[in-house]
Amino acid sequence: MIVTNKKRNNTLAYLFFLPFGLFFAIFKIFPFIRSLYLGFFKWDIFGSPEFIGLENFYTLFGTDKFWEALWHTFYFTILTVPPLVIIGFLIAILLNSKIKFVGFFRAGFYIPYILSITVISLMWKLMFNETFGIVNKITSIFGIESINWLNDPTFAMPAVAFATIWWTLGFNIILYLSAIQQIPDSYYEAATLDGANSWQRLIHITVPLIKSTHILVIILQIIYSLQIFGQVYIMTGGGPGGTTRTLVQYIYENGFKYFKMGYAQANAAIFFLIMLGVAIAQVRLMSKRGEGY
Amino acid sequence: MKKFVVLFVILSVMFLGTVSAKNVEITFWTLFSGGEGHIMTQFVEDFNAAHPEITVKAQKIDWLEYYNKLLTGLISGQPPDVAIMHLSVLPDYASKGVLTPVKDYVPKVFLDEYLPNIIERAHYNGELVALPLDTHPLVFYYNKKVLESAGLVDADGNPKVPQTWDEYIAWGQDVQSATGDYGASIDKFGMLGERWFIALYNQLGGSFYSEKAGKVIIDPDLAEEVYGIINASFANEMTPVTDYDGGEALFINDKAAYHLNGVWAMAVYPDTEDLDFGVTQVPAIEGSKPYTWGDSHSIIFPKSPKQSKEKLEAAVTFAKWIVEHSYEWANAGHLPVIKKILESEEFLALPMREDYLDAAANAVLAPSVIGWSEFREEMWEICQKLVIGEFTEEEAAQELVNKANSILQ
Repeated sequence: MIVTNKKRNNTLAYLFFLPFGLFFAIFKIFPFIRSLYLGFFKWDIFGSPEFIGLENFYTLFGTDKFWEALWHTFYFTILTVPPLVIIGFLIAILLNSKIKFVGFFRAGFYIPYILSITVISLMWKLMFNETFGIVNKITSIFGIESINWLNDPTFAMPAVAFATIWWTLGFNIILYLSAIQQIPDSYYEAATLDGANSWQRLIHITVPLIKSTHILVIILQIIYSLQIFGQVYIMTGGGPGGTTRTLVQYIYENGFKYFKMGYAQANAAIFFLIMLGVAIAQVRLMSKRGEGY
Repeated sequence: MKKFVVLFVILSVMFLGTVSAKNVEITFWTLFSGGEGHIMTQFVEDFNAAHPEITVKAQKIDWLEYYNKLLTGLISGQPPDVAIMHLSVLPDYASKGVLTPVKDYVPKVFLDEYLPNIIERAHYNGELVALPLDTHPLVFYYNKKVLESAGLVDADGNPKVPQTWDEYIAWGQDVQSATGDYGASIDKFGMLGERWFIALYNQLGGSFYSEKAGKVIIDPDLAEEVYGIINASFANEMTPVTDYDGGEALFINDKAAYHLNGVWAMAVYPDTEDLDFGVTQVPAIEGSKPYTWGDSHSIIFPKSPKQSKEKLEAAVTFAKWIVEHSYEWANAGHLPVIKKILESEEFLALPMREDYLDAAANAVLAPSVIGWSEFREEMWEICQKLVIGEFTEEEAAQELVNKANSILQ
């Protein structure tokens, strides 16, 4: 009796999974495998692929542009992950308190996230414009000279990072907020009774008890930041002089503009390995630490 | 009653059948938007009305996405029957065998009417694979208000328009020091590293393509000289580093005196409120003609599994019709490439066309080589590195030569 039920439950489970599984296999798994395969070929999209073994990879590692793109991607990640995590956490704390109009603030912080990538990129591009943009108008109040943000190699990536932080903060806030709200009030009450002030409650209760959320937010943020393409492409085009070109942009250009699809696939394979490394790190870290309570 | 209905149905089907059998339907993809888009849409409507036996179904694709979509169409075997393509990238596609040669469908007298520098580029390996519609060269705009307020007017009160690059740089810097406005603005991508570069390079006597060697050969000394001129115009804050929209905004809002841009801006500038401007050919190196860069929108006929002689003939008919109406197309600022249209009254009646129509004959198009799509973006980047100070003129020239050798065939 029991065995039959279990079998039927399993069959039912597989049936439910089938539509999504099929979709996933056709549109994700198959292209993925084919992409890895094509990395060993030379292919201009129109003709047939020509097998060249590891040559794409040799070329890749010997090309300055590849390393530069890799570094720009890492640089962007370094610029965005700490602020997005730390500020996201702090704002979540604030939004968890019983301040007036908290609903308004929660909505306000989240709204940028629902705007499309093109909209925010064009918006910030205008705001960062050297002559007409509002950013320079504001900084000039403090006596700072106008900066040509998106056309200056020093400031271009930080400017894009700033726009990105403004845009995606809401997502991290939501993640943190829901985690914080799950911490039982009794812990805080007990701590207050023992004489802990709000700073101590924050550091010794809130921060440690949502450790797995920290890891989740950090790893997700790293993965998203490594995949950066749209904002940079729209705001700077990868410039000036290629100083903000990211890895995904490099892959896109080679594959779709220069007809070097095999080379682009090899590039994508390397990129995949990097992301895989990050994902493995996450799984390891999360399985070590359970929830603290 | 029933018999009558049956008869009626049979007759209708017969009529419908006859009409659709005679009518050839062809699909047409374009990348034009804005003012150009309207003109092209009107063309399709007018053509369909004038030619009841052909129906052109046009699809407008955002120009940023256009080549991606065209590529997908070509690979998947579902390309349009007729489409637009820039002559500069023609070799990249023609070399893959995806364009149909059309010389047999076009009368010689029609081809002879073309400007020779343009029609030559519509060929690949001796085959005619495109019908050019226009040329859109790089020209020179000047803001009269900015020049006047900087005191850059001659004895008659006319704004000073440079005839040489030395004048351009000198007067541009005068504007900057007099009023703080920029002397000039130019887009940092194609306009700077590719188009202006090609204009200067040819003015200095160079030419990219060596017939003898059968490939592109860049003279590093000449390239260095070109970069010297470009770099000098960015010194002393005469020209800021901006993209296309930024550069245009500066010019339109009276914050830059001179402006290097293509003729397509003429679709916008004459109607821009409060913009008091003039347009002319680009300045020249002393003793040289004002050679300038130019590209050309052309009409191509993609190869497809469902292509038929009928459809191809219909497509060529449509293409020829548009080309013959290119004096209307010229409203978008582009220059016709049919000699008699270029000299026609209708064309010359358009605002300011007289001032720059000679640019069509002085336009130098990209060489007909594979790899130009990639190489030109390297040109953009090298020049950007030059003007932000990461390359010296010599380094930029050397990098350009290296890239040409590794990318172009």
